[in-house]
Amino acid sequence: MPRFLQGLRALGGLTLMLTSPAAFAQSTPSAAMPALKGESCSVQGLMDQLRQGLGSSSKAYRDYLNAVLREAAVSLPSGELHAAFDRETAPAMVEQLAAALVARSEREAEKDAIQAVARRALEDRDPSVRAATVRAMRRTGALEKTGDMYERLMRDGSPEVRMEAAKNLIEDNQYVYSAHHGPATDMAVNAATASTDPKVTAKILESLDTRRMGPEAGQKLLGMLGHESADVRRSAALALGGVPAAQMGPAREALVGMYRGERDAGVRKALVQGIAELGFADAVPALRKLRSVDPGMAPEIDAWIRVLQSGVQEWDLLLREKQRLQQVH
Amino acid sequence: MRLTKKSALAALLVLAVPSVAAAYSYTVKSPFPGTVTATTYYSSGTFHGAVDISSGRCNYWGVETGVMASLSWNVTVRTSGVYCNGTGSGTQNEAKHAFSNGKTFRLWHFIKTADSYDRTCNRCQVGNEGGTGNATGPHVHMQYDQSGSNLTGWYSGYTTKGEAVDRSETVGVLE
Repeated sequence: MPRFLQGLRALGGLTLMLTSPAAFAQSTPSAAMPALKGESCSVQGLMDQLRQGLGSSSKAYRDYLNAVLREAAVSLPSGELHAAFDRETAPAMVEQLAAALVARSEREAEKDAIQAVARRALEDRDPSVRAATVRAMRRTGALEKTGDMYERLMRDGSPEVRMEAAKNLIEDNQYVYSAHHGPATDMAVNAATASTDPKVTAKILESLDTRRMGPEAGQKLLGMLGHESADVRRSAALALGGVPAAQMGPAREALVGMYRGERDAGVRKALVQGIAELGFADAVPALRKLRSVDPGMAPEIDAWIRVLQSGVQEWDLLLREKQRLQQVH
Repeated sequence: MRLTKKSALAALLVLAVPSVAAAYSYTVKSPFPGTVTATTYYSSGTFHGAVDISSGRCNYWGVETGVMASLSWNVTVRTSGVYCNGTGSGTQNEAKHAFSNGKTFRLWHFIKTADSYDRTCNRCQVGNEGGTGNATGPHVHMQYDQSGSNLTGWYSGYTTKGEAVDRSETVGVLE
């Protein structure tokens, strides 16, 4: 039966109940019935609601419940919330309770609440729970409030946990710090270089906006150009394209110097893009010199030269123009 | 003809290329209970392009950053002390967040307190309601700007002059 007909049938049943004398008699208030009492939100009540709601097929309803818990977190009793978080073992519920604790911390109702979440992200025996608690800290100030947690998470035994931590570093830099906070960028670079998982390192570096990166992190990034993984070399080349003005000279030299010895086509493409981003129109002479190194890369370099000579001054627009040219030809 | 087809295809594909800039949508709540005293234009007709909220009480406790998201806030204290009716143009205390797309959200005029410092938080307090800077009375000025121009779309349709607001009231949405 279609869902709307089921709804109508249920509504019909409700109408019948309301109009039938027996039902009416039952619904008449009597002296024996308890009076309605106002109740404050309880941790247990919210958890029951969440447990039921997480099974709902409606994403909007699940999002609503998440929002309710995060907003209610400020006024929930701290002790009960911590105890519930410590007891819970189901990853989906752990994530919600962790998010509530993080919300208390972010709203400054209990600044240290996030430490309990960080501890569990590092120490819980279940990798799914560790991953869930890491997700709960996404798009928050966890990066600057949890010491070396992210560097340690990079060495976690579970690939899922490492990747969730990488996503946090990327999204925190992008949305919480809007790429304007050098220490947050540096922390992401440090974590990426501390990782022994090339996939994770590449994931962080290829998405990182490095416009406020500090000189020490810049040196580490230059070092990643010599990494054995082509994915890491490619993402490091892309990341170096956006470095602050003071670091542009060494970055350009490194990228141009590396191009001649690099054998991987994907890395070479990234090197050319990095050089283009560092110099805009001023990069054209350097790109022309590189054109003869590998004839197979000549069309790519020509496309960049055409784009850079268009006079567009915004990197996003240059990238878009480059994509357009690639799609036309 | 072939060239025309190519150009048309290219134009379509440009539309299909996703934007590189980060997308966000953040609801902004009132920083304290009060009344909206000005939006796009002052009573005089002069352009304002921001939301002013006042409780009418100077040094009123707890101006919150209002944006419902964890953001890093840069708090600049230009004037110390309790001032309710202005200290001169450019001397306002300010909390701001600069987004990576070039837009900036600012709160002005609050009085410096122990909470007036840089940090990452979700609706944290950065001072008390006051009149530092170019102000004729205690209020908070909430402004969203880009390249020197004040944006008005973020609050249009969400609030109007004269509306009574509390900390749970939506004043606008930043995108």
